[in-house]
Amino acid sequence: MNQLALDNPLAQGLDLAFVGMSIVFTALVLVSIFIAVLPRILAAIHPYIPPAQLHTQSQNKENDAPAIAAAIGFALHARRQND
Amino acid sequence: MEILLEFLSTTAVANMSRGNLLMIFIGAIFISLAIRKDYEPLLLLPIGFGCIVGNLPSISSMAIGVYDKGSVLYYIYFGVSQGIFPPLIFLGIGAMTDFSIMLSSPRLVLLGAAAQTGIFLTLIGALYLGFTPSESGAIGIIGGADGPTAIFLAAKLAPHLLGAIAIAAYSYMALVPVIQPPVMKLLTTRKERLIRMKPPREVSQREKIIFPIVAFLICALLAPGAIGLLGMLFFGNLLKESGVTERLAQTARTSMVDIVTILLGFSVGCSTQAQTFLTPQSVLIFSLGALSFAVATASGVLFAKFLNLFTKDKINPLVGAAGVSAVPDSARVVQMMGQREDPNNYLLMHAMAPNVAGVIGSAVGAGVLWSVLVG
Repeated sequence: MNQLALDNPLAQGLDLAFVGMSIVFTALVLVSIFIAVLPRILAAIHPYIPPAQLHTQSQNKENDAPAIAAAIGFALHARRQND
Repeated sequence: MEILLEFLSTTAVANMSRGNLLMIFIGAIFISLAIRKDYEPLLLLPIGFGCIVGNLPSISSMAIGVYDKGSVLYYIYFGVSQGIFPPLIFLGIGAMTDFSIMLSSPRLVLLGAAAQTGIFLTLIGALYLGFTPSESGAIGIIGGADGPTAIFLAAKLAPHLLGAIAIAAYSYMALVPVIQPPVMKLLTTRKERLIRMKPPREVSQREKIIFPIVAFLICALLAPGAIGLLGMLFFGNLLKESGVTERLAQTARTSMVDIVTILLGFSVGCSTQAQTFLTPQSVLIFSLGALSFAVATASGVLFAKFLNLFTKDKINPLVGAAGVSAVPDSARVVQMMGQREDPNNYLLMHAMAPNVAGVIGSAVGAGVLWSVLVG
């Protein structure tokens, strides 16, 4: 399509620069606005979808590992003492 | 004896040109900078060695170089020439990036947009110097200070300039600690450099999970050309933040990104054969690249000062320089410059916000240029 290769590429380059910067700014301004309102949106939906259930299963698996190891260790220790 | 002479005529020694020698010397400088100065060693070392490999001449009937169809190097370089490696690197970057600081300081995202001015002013400069619009777009992206994005766009818009653009982009990324400080100092007063910023708030895991999905939709809807890069970036980040795919995230940010970096750096280095690389165009590309880095840095700093006119909680304008997406080098430069004035002022975490926003901004910029300029 290269329309910029027409008569005056420099002038059209200026247009492209303006449009390009506008789109980059628009995208990041929208991202910025979304980030700013996200905590409020989450606060609003909090009663309906509580966050506590999010992915805790897999995290708990990892977090529980030391606790399980400690419990097994304690059980073995207690059994040996009883023996 | 005749066979020996014939064999000798096919050796690299017999076919070596001064240009090849110069490129081998440049490759050695890259390796030296990587090892001695620690300038982007993960990239400069493979590129430097690739320069040496790519500039050993071979006879035309043998398929050896990256441009010889059927050679091993040709197939490795395929990932560069077809723009496959950059999105894979973005996947790894996404899996290693923590967007928390950005999520806690939305206004700093705008600095990442402002620094992309470097891309578009360089494009105008390239057009002025006589490059075609497609070539100018590919050269302009050097100002985004993002190597994978520069390679991606150059592969799409100006494949014949890919080597020069890739080398310029990565060289200047390595030289961020040299190029940025004078510009930052020139545009700020001591009082401004001493500004301390509020500590960022804590960000919930829910925000971190929702962000990559919505941010991708916003950016991709506006600039569909960036889907390949941003899709992989945000997908990698979702793997990291979801909490259920830690194994995949771990692979993406370690083994996978390392393998791709090796292949990309080495094959880009191999593509710098003197016959195609040492041209007046390459000199212009390097000059424009340096200028675009300086312009991008200045734009970020000046925009931070502009924002300070309207905000109560002042931004240290040095942070604006991190809007160029050389992650995390430009954020480190901001930290270093801030601590020169006040050793107890920690700007690194604040600088990471525009830094990662800059990655998004430069990918959006690349998407726009690709959409408009693809012929």
